[in-house]
Amino acid sequence: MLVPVKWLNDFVDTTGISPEELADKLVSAGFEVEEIIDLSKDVTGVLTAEITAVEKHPNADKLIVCSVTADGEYTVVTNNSWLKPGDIVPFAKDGARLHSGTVIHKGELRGVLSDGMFTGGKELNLSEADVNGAGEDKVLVLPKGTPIGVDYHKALGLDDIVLDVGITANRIDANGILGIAREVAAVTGRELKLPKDYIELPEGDEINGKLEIVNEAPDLCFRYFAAMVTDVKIVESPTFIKRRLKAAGLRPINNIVDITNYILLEVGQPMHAFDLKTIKGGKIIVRRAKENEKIIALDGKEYTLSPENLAICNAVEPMAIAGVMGGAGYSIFDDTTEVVFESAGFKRDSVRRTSRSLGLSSDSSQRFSKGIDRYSQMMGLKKAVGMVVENGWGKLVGGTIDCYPEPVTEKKITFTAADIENILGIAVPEKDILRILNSLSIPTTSENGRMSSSVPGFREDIEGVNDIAEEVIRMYGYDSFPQESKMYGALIPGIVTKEQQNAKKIASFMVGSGAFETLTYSFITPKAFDMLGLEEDADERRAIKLTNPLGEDYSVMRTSMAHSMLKALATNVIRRNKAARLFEIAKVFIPKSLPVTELPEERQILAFAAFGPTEDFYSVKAVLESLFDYLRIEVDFEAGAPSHMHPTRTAYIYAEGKRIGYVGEVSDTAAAAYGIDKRAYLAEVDADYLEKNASEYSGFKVISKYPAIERDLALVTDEDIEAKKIIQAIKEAAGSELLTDISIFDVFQGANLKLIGKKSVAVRLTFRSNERTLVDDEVVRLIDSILEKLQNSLGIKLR
Amino acid sequence: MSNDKLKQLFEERVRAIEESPLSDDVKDLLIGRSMKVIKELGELKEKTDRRDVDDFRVRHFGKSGDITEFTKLIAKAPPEFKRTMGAIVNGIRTFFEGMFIDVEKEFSEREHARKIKEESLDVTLSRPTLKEEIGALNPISIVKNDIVSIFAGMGFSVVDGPEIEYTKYNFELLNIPEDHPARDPGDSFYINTEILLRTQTSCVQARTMLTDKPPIRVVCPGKVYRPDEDATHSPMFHQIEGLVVDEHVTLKDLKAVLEQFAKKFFSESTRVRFRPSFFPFTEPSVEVDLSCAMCGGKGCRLCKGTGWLELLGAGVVNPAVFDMCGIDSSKYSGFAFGVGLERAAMVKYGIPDMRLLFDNDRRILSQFK
Repeated sequence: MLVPVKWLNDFVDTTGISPEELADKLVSAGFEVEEIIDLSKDVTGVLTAEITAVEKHPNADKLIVCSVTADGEYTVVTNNSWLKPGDIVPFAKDGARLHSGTVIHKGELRGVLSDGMFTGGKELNLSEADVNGAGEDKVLVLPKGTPIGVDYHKALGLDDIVLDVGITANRIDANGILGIAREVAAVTGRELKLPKDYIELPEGDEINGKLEIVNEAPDLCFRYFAAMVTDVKIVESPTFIKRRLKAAGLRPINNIVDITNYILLEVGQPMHAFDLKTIKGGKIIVRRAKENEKIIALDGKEYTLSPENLAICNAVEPMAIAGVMGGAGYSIFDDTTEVVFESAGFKRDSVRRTSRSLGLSSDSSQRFSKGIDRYSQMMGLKKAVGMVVENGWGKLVGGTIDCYPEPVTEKKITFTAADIENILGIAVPEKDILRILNSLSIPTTSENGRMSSSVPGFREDIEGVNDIAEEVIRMYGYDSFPQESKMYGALIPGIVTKEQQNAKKIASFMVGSGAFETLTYSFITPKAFDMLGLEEDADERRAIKLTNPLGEDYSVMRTSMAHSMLKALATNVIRRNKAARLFEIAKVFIPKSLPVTELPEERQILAFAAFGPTEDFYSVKAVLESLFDYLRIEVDFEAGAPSHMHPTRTAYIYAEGKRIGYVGEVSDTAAAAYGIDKRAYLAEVDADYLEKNASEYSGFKVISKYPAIERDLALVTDEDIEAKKIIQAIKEAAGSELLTDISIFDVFQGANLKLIGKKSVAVRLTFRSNERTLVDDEVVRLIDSILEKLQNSLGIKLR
Repeated sequence: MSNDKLKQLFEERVRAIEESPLSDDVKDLLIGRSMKVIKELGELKEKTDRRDVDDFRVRHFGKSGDITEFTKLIAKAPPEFKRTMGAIVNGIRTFFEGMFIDVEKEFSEREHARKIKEESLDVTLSRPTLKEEIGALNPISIVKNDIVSIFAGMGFSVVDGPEIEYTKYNFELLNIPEDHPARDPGDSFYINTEILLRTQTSCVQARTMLTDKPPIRVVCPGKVYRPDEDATHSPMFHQIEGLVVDEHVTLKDLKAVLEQFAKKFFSESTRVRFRPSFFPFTEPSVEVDLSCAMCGGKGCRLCKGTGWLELLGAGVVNPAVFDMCGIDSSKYSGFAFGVGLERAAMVKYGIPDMRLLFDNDRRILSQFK
């Protein structure tokens, strides 16, 4: 919120306190000051000057040469030949900087030296609201009596400092100059005083003869408070009001409308003013709008309302969208003489929903959306009628109407200094607690160590002792905590679960295998399913949709990591990186039902992706095989591929008969869909399974002290026989007692083999006994039975 | 052994043979063969092929080698000469064996030196593939691991919760009622009116309090989601939430714990500053500033001249939250804090734009080895 210091001074005198000091005090009290804006700094070097003499330019008909007095005597050449001696004008000296950023230099104009230039209002960012004539496109002539030779800001009273103050969501009372002033009074120890135009509300019941108010929706409008003024004169507001409104970005309109906006800024209470004659039937009805009820708002647009929206109606139709905007035909007109001021409390979520559903936002709706206390309605109304009376713009009508079915009762909180210490951990003396709370307009007394606070209506955020403790410490100062580091409490060990440890182990392993960890969004584009080539009825398409995504590209929760990883690969391929191994362990979201009625299953997936000149199916598979080995998880690979993978270069991974993932080459169509023009490899593995089932080192095995015998077999097999089957057959034939290792170290397929549909497979067998040195004969017998088995079950021969 | 010395020793042996009472035939045989062996031994020193050494050993010390044959002479010698013969032959053999061991050793040394020379590498070269074979965690994981270890060391356990959450845990139980502005769709990603992407890891606080009994000391790292995207906001980001519930826990304890954290995470000289703030689930609430990691508090670009970095939000758990989560607020108190990991990583590594953390270009990722 923008807080001009001059405005603040209406409530609390800050003379002698620098803006920086004031800002520091507010920050330490919990009000962040984003910026200190010196309004005099936007334009510099422009002084007020009086023209003392005007002469014709010797070389140009349209120019005149003026002698001026500012902080010295100067000569200015201008084409504003209508200027005359005695005029007071803004004079930009040599080196002056205008609002546009232009710097003025002295120089010759057609042979005559000009010491600077005169400016209009626009160059100084002034409008009619600031000074009469500032809106015109010519040199601005300032009022007679303006001091001469001083910075124009100061001369016109435009020099001010504005603090941009951040208000936390709980301090709804501080969304106005008055609320900030209360804090300033507390932090500076100075007195808070209300300006004299906060007058007592009129007594009597004259108003009841002219107006009736019915609140049919107390659940959306907790208070509807109104007062009336008559014999109103509609005029322009005084300059200081116009300037303050303009500085806040509000357009001055007329005195009555300006009052409502002024109070919005000063009290934080949005107000509305109705011309009594537009209140048909003399009746204001606060009610939910009817379905399809229409209103043309002050912005000139027609809005169609529904019972979701609260409307302020007369006996016939809506006159305003409650808390959002008034209707065009029900505001203040030049001939208005009787004005009803509305000072209402609308529920924040009601205003917010209406504002959103109509796509209509205003200063009022933004203010209401933050929530409004039940105290500001009174303050707003006092100020509204006070401004009318004090300025002589009208007369009070006796009495007010206050629809306030559930008035807040005063809150009392009792506590001791020890209660406060139990929360803060440091002892704040009772006298300081009393001083602080009273300075914050929270009247607090003490009797035998029991303190009692009466919480004022505007501090709805204060509910209990913890809130009192916060008020105390933010004023007492957080720097009063000691520098010692002690913590009291039970001795409890920090536990890291087995799954958490294993997750870390997996990540470390992947890093060790040369992979970089990526970070991808959990939400993806629904186009991903087509890019991945998923069937129309594929399970993966059953994804959770966000109702309010940041855009289509971030609108569904991923059901696999494929899209995310392919995008990350594509980033690297497209940017011409030579190679990359990438991994991520992240969640995918599998709905239990659609539409979603309960929390989905969140599955952790380990995704691994790679491309580059040294990568192939086997290099990528090897990373996973080593990982499984490291985690002591036994797996099985079987040919098979999801839609986005190469059909004959992908394997599903099984553990304990359950599919836990896949590894392989990305299909060329999927790769192309992501702009990947190289062979790319991808794997996804159920990380929850790995984390749960990874086993610890479990028991020592004595190693054999006898030598091993290795034998290589060159086999000729049908080309479609998988290595796994050969190994399986060999194991079955030889048993595991003596045959300790089988490895296929070469597979060859080609013309040299002279056998179509065949391949040569070289197998290395390692035999070793734990009990004795093996003799050749034993090994020969085992190999014979292996060969026999290979021949019989798979038709494999020795080459 | 110098050649002169060798020559001298050899001549002593020859003289011993000549002076022995052996027959001239035997003397000639012994001397003749010995001369031949010593000559070959001399030649062997010049050879470079390992096989020459092996060959020499076989020819002279093998089963039927010259020197070995000498020993056979002992057996054949007449009994009265056996002792003399034995002394002489063994003398020669020991001499030659000694000689050969020396030569062989010399040879090995020479060969080794040659091999070392041949195998010399430019060790300042690096093979590109080997050099790049290690990967890296992303900065968020690094920072998360660092922070989790610091708190684990202080007795905090690590807990986890769902990323898609009921509004009950994300809002209601954290004292954020239905009409609170924080529940605006502009501030949260909704799936329906009751389910959303969690906007804060604080939901895990509520879940933990509902299931665990005090004393509670947990941290919860995880992804959270809010609809913002610019240089300092990402629609998905990471937080670590911390919660302590115990008897007599105060704001002072919170400061002590966060001071320890700050010192371990940045440096021992890091200072902690509290500023009043507001969170619905803590009361009092504070913003926690750490003295700037870059300038130490003097003021620099990173801290925008203030000397302080805003890194955490924290506070004393609001008793209303305890009441809703089934913890006796008259007996227990607690504190909670939340750290934004992106911000922590950006500060720690000087990363200028949050979006770079999600870019996934290996040229970025490989900087965090």
